[in-house]
Amino acid sequence: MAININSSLKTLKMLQNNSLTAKELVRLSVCTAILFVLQIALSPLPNIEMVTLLILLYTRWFQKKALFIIYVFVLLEGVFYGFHFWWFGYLYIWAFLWIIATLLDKRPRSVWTWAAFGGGFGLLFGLFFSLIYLLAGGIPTALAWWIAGIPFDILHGVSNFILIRILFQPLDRLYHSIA
Amino acid sequence: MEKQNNRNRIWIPITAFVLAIALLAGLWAIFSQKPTEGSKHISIAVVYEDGKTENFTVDTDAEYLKEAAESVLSIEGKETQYGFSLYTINGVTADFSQGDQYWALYVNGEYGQYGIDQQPVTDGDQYQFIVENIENASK
Repeated sequence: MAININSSLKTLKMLQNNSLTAKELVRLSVCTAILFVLQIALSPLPNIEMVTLLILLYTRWFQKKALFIIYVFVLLEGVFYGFHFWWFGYLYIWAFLWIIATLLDKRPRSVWTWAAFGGGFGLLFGLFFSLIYLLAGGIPTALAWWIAGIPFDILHGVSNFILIRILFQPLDRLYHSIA
Repeated sequence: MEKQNNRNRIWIPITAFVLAIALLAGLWAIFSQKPTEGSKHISIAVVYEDGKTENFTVDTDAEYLKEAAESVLSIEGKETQYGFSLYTINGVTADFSQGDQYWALYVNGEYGQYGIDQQPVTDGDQYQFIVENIENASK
């Protein structure tokens, strides 16, 4: 009996730890809305986006719960732009960034390191994305698609690097001052 | 000592990032398909949804297909992060962001690997623009 009560208490504690409070739910929803709106607002600018910066920050702030933001964002992208071929790449590419951010955040890092990893993610974005072309058209299609897009990836990486270097610390401070 | 650590914290990420850019630029310079200069004689076919086909022959100095195609076709699309996305040819729209159809590009009978603004033009090439459904992409 004692074992059962202990086990139930343990389960309850786990549920409490993993479930969202109303305050958290509002916070995550607002962050998702900001992510989605900024993505649309910046979409006319080729390869300049704040999604990478915000996902790095959200992972720092919300850890596992940042995945909620990521997948609601991915779903909204599908609803807004249509569930086309590219959308399937979004299913893994932002989660991969979440993994990078989780590993990076295990110890304190300089903003330059965050900028370099965010920039590196932009540089390799086409390579990661080419995985869906690997499934669709095989290695030659994926490689050709990736190589042709390298100039765009370089622009993506450099803009990520600059945005993260400039905005990462101020936004991090802002969040902690109001959270 | 601490000053040295701070310097490392700045310079190691910057150096790694710049090296990664140089590596990617090198890969692109070596492996990307290059256009050829000078006059080229090519053919362009447009195949609409109902199977109706229009054929054109073009003599051009253009290095990339978009410029050559614009000399005989009315082309509309949008600049995106991955180059020019082709939506409309001669008033017929096949926009993959709005529906299930798109303009597929074939080069000498093979499914094209590049967008029309990145597809190099080579003398004697045959290009086809065909309305296809997305589920048939690259099959």
